[in-house]
Amino acid sequence: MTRPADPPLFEFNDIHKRYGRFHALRGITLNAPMGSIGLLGPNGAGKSTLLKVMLGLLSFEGSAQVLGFDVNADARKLRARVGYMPERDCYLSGMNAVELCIYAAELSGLPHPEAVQRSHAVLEFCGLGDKRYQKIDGYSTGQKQRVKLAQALVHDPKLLLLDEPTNGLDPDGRDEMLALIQSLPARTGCAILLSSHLLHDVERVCSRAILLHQGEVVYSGTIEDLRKEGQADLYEVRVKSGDEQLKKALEARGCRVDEADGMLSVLVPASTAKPTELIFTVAAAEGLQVRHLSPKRLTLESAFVRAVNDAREGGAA
Amino acid sequence: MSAAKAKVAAKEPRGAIRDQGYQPYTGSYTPEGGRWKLIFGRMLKMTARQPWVLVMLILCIFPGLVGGVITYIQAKMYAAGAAPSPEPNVFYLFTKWYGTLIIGFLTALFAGGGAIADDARAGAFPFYFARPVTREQYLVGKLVPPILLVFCVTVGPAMLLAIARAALAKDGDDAMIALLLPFKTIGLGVVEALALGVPVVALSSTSRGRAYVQGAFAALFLLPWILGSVFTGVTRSPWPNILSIRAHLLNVGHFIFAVPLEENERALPVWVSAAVLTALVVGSLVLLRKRLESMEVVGS
Repeated sequence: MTRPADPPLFEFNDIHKRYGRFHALRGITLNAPMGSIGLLGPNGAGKSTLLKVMLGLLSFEGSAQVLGFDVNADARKLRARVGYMPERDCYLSGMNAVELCIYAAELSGLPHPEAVQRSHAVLEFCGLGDKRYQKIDGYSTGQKQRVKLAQALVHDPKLLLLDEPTNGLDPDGRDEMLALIQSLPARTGCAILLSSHLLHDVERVCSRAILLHQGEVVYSGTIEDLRKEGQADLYEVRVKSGDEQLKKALEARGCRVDEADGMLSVLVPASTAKPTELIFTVAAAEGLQVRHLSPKRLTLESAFVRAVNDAREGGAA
Repeated sequence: MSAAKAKVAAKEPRGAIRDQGYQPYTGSYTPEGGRWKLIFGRMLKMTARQPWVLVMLILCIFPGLVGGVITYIQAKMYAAGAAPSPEPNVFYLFTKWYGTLIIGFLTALFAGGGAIADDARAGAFPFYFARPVTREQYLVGKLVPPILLVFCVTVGPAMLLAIARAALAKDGDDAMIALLLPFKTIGLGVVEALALGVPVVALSSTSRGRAYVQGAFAALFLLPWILGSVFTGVTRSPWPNILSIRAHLLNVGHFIFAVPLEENERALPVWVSAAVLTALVVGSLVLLRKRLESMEVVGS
């Protein structure tokens, strides 16, 4: 027996959103499979606007489907199957965690008995089992983050939108929260869209990334490919002595060279057929001894910066 | 228990411990149209927990009791031809400062002051609007409890008094007149509950501070009343009362209960009062709608 293929997580087709003169989303065309996806971009890139589109909270030009629902026509059905964990505090004063989760589940459409049952289970799951009858006003930052996650999970969403889920947490709390989020797809079967400025968080939780810049998609694909894309022409070089001499010589051949901690980071022009040979040839011509030469592994952060810079340069050109 | 769960349970030995872990939800969803009832129920529950609201609910009994005693005595005297009809007593209970008007105002102040301001302060809008809840459902759920409570504290005692008045009628004709009192009571009660309940919730949407909202509502209700009374006395014109909610309620009450003005009492034309109260309620609803539309769910 064959299982029908999962619908894509979302499909956007030429989405535009304008706030007066400000063009927040400029022709976003995207689709993504189920899984964990990081939503990245500098401030004002359009991340929040895209999240609003995904929640069916905004009118826009173009068409969008999330979890197979038309965002414009079935916004409320869609929101019943999406969980949203906002960046800021989001709880109702005077309530304990159980009351909040029951209320959240009922507002999402669960009947009362199921809402009660799931609230207890999800608070246990989020590590708040023994604190669930305490007033949320007295919770620590970490506990509040867990309650926010619990209220987003209580109705068993198929897509979880997480907006800066580790905001305000200390390193241990952040680690615990990320471990919890990381375990969600396997344990709950939900997809995750993680919007964060903390690239380490995205790197740890997500396999794919969407990069936005000035309302446009700069990159959409796997994080591994994003790194590879950036690192194809990038090498780390160390010579016995004469770093400055090699830097000048390579720059004269069209390379971009940065120096840090005695290591040269060399970006060879894309047109170069054999980049390593070029570096060896230039070093030999300068009489320098190469001690280390390897392709440079980009961090997500440097890949992100590079993709955004490329987009800026492309925009300026 | 679903068939699948029953099948799994049947296969397991008795007493087996199962880690249920995270269970997917496979049940049905409740109809979307009824979500306002959840918000209403929650709002009512939280409002009823406020001590001052409870105090108002208890306090409203006393003017009713005093009015009842006076009406009883007056009705007996009226039957003996020794006193005028106690007909206007229900009207006085509604509109005089010693009646339920101040209690209604204070109930609106305490019940409605935090209706939306508390949610704004706690950042609760994503909690509601990232779910299948519309802003209209939220609005209805937040508006109805203060209106209902104001209606209860003002109409409740007046209704009992109206029924007592009908029971104490001296003859059939008198009873027929008295039987209209409950309807008049509901009419003025609805007007009063809307005129007090809707503006306070609208003010609540403009701030994160409950105290600010309560201060602003108290100013909106009391200042025009006090200043209007002073200037009406000085100028001998009813127009300084144009901004006084209390004066307009009194005026509409005169009209509904057909109670003539007292000596030296000056009132605006009733259509002016009706128009001002309608403008107040409609304006408040428009403000609420605009404020709710502008509330952010994602990001700042």
